[in-house]
Amino acid sequence: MKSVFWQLVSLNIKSNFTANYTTGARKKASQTGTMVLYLVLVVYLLGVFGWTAYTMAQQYASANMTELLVVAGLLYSLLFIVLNTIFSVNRYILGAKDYDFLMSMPIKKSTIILSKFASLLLLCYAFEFLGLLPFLVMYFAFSGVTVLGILFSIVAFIVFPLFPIAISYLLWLFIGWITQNLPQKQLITIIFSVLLLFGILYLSMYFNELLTAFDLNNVNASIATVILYPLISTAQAICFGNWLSLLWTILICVIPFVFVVFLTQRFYTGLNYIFVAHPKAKKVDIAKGQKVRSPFFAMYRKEMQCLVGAPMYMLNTCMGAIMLIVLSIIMGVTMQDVSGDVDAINVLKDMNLFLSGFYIILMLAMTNPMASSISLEGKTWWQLKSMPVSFNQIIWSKMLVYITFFAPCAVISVIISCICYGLSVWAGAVLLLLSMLVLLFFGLFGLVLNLKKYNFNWTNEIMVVKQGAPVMINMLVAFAIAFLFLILYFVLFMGLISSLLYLGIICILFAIGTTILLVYINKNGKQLFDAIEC
Amino acid sequence: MLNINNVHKSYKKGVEVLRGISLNVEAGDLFAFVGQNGAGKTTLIKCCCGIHDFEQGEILIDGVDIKKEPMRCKKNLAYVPDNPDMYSFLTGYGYINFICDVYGMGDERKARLEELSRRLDIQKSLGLKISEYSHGMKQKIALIGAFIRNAKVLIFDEPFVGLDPFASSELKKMMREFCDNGGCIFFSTHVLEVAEKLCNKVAIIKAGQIVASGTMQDIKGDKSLEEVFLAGGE
Ligand SMILES: Nc1ncnc2c1ncn2[C@@H]1O[C@H](COP(=O)(O)OP(=O)(O)OP(=O)(O)O)[C@@H](O)[C@H]1O
Ligand SMILES: [Mg+2]
Repeated sequence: MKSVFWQLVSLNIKSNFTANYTTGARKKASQTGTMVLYLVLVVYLLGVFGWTAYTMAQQYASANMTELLVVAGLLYSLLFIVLNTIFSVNRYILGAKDYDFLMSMPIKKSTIILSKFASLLLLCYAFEFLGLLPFLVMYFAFSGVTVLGILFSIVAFIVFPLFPIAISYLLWLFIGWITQNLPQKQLITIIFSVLLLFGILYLSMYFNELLTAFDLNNVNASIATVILYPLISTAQAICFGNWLSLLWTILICVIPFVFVVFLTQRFYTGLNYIFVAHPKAKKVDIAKGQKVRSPFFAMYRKEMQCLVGAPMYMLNTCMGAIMLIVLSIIMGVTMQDVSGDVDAINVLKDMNLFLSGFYIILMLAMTNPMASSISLEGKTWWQLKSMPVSFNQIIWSKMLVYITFFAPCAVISVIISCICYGLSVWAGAVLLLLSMLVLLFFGLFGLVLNLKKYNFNWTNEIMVVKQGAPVMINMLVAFAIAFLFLILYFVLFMGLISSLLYLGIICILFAIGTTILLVYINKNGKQLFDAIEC
Repeated sequence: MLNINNVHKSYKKGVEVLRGISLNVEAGDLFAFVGQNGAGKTTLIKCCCGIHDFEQGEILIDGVDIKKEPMRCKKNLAYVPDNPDMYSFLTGYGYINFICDVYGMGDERKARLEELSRRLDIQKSLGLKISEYSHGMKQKIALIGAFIRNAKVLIFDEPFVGLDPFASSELKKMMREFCDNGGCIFFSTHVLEVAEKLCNKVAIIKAGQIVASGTMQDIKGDKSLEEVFLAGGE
């Protein structure tokens, strides 16, 4: 018999990772498929971080600063954990759909809360595993293994995530609390999250400069070192085997976490109330009547309201497009100045054009509302099925909403790039074409994925929006295509053709891909759609 | 109006939930559909609305085959499910307008909505998000969505569940009026007294097969519907 606590924890974890609730043999197959998918993603990310850690290690080993590897690993884990926690506070710990159910059962409140935090912590360990482990391995590989170092690393690994969890939880609570009675609550949440993303991206642009501020032997009191003191003391404990630092680390990480758990325990009901939306009723004047719209436009409006109505949904699925704008601003502002030499300027322009293309592909494809648009119908699926709307009307109303959000972001980013890099009209036009084709291709691709792998049994949007199998596959494919885009250029084409021509070729490839998807959807889409039962 | 001929349906291969169902609902009929939990009522209803596919048999709505011309059928049909899960991000008013738009209704919706929301006593909550509605309020909005347009066939799955006595009594009147005006209603229910008083026809389903169907008089004779049902429909 498992204890209630562990049952709740395993339930929470499972609800985070379950794939489609298909039956029988297909269930097994789809579960295996999802496992493989996660495995691929983990291996991929470990590879990326391992490689990053390795190149950094070579660089730092010659400068005798291998400790910075540990700091870098901790910093990456910190960013991951902060992002993960912020998206989990709402609807996972607080305002969760199972609140009523759990509270009605003879389970102690503390057990419920602890189980939620424990599940969150386990998830954060997974992120720490990806972010920190490769760097730790490289650190020990380059500066020698000590028993104390390993021992301290294990302790640090266990306690370190408590700090970012506590801090981001408190931050999110604070924002929830000050915005709870404001009419534009959703908008404020979105704006704040975008600002946060902006900050994190900006930080990662200056990652190297930031790192060098953390000279462990000689910590100077800058803002960064004060805010991120736990990070420094953790690194000092691991690198120098310093008992005092270890003690500090444990204290600094554990105390805020305990405080946060205690706070949640004390005010659980009230905090839950903050995070459940309580919109005021709008005034309705039936006598005035409402505008009559065409069926298609009504569908479009409905999809739009669905997207705008849930900030978490919007943030998770449209983050890539928003980040594309943020990225192009940061890239444009931080661009190096090359004066004088005409050749050098042209080479730089060429490189910048290529990079803009790369970011467009990566960012526009990474998050994709279409990959969860079918699953998101959930229990309201009957409505679509019983209405006299055609398959084409349904999918194109969804596509159009996606385009409405993503296309302007792409256009803005292209314009920013053009201005900052002084690109020619031709280059701008090709970038624009590329972004539109990428958008169409991945929209249709996500749609097909979701038509094939759907899940209507979710209790929490995040389950399909963030962790659904189609979303994962889409992300992997996006990474793979962006990677291919890089490799193909550097291995085959660099020096042979200009990046403008290269982007043109990529455009043609995407156009072909889009056409294939369109033909496929025309031929098989309706069958897939009709085969969906709930 | 609604003709069901020899419908077979299974969710898993080899396990038939509907085993050859045939029923006819004529214009003006108020048709009750009763049976035990898990007998297959919801399944048949979903087949009639084009939500589920079925392996064998045919379903005609106003003479049109639902499998061959689903769009035309769905235009003439209004369905209220057993669990009124609706777009929670819309307001009740927004939802009704969405439904009217999709079914191509013009300005006549205004007067209809005024009347229906008054009768079901929901005018005050129309501006609230559906996510804030109680079960009965959602049920009322779903019912308004069904009654507001000029469908020929109404199909309800346990429409009385969750309605208060006022709304329940009003709904009975509305159903009666609808059928008197030449429409037909096919609905499942567990409330046999209501079925007995309200309906002119009834069918009893047991484990995926119809065990009795016909006019209320023929089925129950001088017993009560409950007695007939508990005796197994014979
Ligand atoms: N989505 C589904 N997948 C698999 N089996 C299903 C599904 N829905 C229903 N069933 C099965 O079909 C049978 C009939 O279910 P149905 O929902 O039609 O019953 P019902 O008559 O509406 O019952 P109730 O009175 O409880 O509403 C049941 O045995 C049920 O287990
Ligand atoms: Mg049922």
